[in-house]
Amino acid sequence: MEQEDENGKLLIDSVQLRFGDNVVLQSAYVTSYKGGVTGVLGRNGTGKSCLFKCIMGGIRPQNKYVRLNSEPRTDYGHIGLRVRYLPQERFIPSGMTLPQAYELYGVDYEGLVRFADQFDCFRNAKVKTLSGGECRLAELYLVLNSDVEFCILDEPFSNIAPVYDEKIRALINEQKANKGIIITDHIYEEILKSSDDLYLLRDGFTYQIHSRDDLVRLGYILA
Amino acid sequence: MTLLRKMELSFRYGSGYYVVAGLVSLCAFVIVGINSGDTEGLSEGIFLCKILKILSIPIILYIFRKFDRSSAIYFWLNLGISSVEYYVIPIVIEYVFFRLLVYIAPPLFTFLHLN
Repeated sequence: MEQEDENGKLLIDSVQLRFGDNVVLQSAYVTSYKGGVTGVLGRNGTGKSCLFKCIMGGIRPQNKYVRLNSEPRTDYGHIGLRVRYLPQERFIPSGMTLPQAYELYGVDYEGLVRFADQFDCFRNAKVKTLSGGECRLAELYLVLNSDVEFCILDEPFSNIAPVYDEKIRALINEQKANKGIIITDHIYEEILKSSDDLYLLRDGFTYQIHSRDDLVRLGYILA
Repeated sequence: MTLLRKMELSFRYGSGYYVVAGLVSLCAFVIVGINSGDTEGLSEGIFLCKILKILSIPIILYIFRKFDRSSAIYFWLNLGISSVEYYVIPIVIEYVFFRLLVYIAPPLFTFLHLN
């Protein structure tokens, strides 16, 4: 899904990250467009989550280049105002209630209740009382419905009951009209189905994937 | 997001830091206050408290990072707070509180002694 228009584009390039002698990323890049879903695949430990954390500023890489739209200089110190990230682990503070978190993010809590009615009874419950799956679903809905230009979803389907898979795919499709979405998951069939662009991270480099055969050739899946 | 809003949010995510660092500041307040009658002891007390305060900051931060969930920071980064601001804002606010306490301790304790 290549676009000539620089507006509605998030470019992450030349990301280099190492921890001591362990080189995680050597020259990683990902491009996401508004209106599209960009999938990022990779084996365990190839640096997918590290790449996303570098974008958000949670990890300081040796080098990175982030540009939004055609802006000559993007203020990526405050990138959270324009890009929201769903990490793999719980990220809503455990002492907070879901309506409090939704209010801070400017997302309507009633929307979550309509999406999954079980959340109707969690209005006064602290996040730490929710199960892993419930928390994951609430966090995913929160990030996807945020009024920002891009969303990064790190394993959004993990911990979530299969009954919600279809609803989540529909929500991603609905939200991609307003924003660009970068997504990674080990359930690669889901990513193949949902993505307009696909990348594979391997040995610290990014490879663009055009077909299932590319995944086999690069050793991500077996033939 | 304004700086005032970021400061307000820092009271939510940094509440643990504020409490522990605030206790250290209160201890400094008492030490400086007790020494306020002795001019030489006062200047030495203030100097010692400043050194201890500055040394306590990385220790308290390390303890909170050790016990905090590593992904919790992204909740706040998503709101537009930078990773530098996330740590610096509570440190600066609490340090200003410490300086204020050390500044008001001598006249306050002298006043209490006189009465």
